[in-house]
Amino acid sequence: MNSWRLRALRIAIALLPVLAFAVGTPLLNHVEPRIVGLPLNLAWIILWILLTPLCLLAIERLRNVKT
Amino acid sequence: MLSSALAGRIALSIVAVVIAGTIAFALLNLKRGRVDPTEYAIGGRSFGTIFLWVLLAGEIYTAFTFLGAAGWVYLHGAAAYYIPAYGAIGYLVGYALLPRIRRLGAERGLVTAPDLLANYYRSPRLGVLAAILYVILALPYVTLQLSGLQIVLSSAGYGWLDGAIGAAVAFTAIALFTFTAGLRGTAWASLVKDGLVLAVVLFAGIALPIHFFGSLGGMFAQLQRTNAALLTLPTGDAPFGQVWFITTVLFTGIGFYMGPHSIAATFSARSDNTLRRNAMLLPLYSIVLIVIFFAGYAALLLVPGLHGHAADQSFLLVIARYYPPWVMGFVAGAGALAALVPSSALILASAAIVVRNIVRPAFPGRIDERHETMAMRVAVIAISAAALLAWWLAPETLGSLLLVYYSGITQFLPGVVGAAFGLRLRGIAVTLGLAAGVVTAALLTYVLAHLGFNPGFGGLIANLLVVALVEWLAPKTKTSPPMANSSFEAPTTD
Repeated sequence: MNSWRLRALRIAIALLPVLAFAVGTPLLNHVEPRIVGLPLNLAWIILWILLTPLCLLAIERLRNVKT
Repeated sequence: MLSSALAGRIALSIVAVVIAGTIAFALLNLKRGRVDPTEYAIGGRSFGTIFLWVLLAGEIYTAFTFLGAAGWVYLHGAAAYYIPAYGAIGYLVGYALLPRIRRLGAERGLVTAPDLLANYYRSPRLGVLAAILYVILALPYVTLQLSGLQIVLSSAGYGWLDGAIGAAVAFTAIALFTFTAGLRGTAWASLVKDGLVLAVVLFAGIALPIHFFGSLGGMFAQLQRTNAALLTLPTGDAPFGQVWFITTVLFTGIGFYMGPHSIAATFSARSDNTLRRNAMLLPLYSIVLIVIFFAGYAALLLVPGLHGHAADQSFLLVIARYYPPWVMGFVAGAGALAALVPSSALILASAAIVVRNIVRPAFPGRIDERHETMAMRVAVIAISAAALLAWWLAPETLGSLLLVYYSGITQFLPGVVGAAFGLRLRGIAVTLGLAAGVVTAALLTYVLAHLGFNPGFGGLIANLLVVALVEWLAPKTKTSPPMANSSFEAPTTD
């Protein structure tokens, strides 16, 4: 991959948590179905708190890819 | 049942031991010897992953978070989810931004946030404006911590002792500690604080719901029966509704690291990789907030009917009612540290700003490097005294100033991002944009209160428009891009 595409890919990955938190949460504005007893919207937030470090890890890995 | 006087004595004694122990631990870990201003204000640019973890996350989650997040959930339910949401976005922005800021700081000998702007844009005027704004915005934030401290100590006193006096005493102790210890001491204290806060939060958020409702699921099932409307956001542009959520999460997230103490913490980092590694780990810190939400929801079911600021005490009331005083002692001890330690970081950053970006430009050549550390120490005491006095005399006014804290500091974003990414903006454009942004945000907050969207966003749009307009109108000069050997000499401190 060339460096331009790598950069675009990293930005796209960075946008995933941003959209998930800022737009996803208000759209998934429901209690049901409850996930392991938690309301859906709260479970969604917890899921993305756990996924955000993985997104950053992926971005960091891509930073070190030789172009 | 113990008398309230005895319970108060037990709990407050534990709080006192927790605070004194934390200060003693931090002081014991300090190196002896001469302290230059870079060491005092930003730990000599030597901090590794653990110190940065506590400074870049722990110092942002203050007593306001500790009590306020539970209070928010108690009053507004799902609207409180904006707090972990903007935090995670803040860490993403930090991953891209902070290593660049650190590099500029190390190359050019920068210590404070206004140093960064004044040096990069070669505009001492911008430095002074930024410095004054930062101090005006930071002071109410410190007094808010004092109010938080008062709530914690009043709860731990069981009505036996007025929290205000205790808050003033504890705050004076932390001011003297900051005077002595500098940022390295604050970082050590922060380590203790975060450990204790984590223990207390896990107890309150996990043990409370299981104790009273059998399980977390049991608690939410009951909430759904009694408070179903709280578990989702109001629709559309209602107060704390969906539009408010989206704008607030985005706006507060991008401004997450614009606080003066966050920029100072960034300069304290040893390397770019330390900051990047941190950004990857920091989102996990938000789990603490989720657990605080559980405590807030439990409090809503156990001590219903609190309104306004009283809701901030909700989970302390649960502890006071259902647990022995020694438990209250540790919970309140953690709460007190959550107020005191971030205050210390904020006061220290403000003191460095006052000395380097207000006093030094006003009296050129009067404060040389040897005297700079002492000047910062004096400023620490002066700012602490001002905060204490302002809190004592006019807490209401300051509370309303705080409404613009995040709206205000985020207006620094264009200038800081421009510097970090090497944009060739003019100092005058950034200066006028900053002023326009702060004024617009303040007007939207105070004059047109209760918008369906975040008022800071309006300010940021005005800010960017002014920057673009000035850049477009300004005469095209053949200036070179801002370089390290600028005419405005960065105060070097190596």
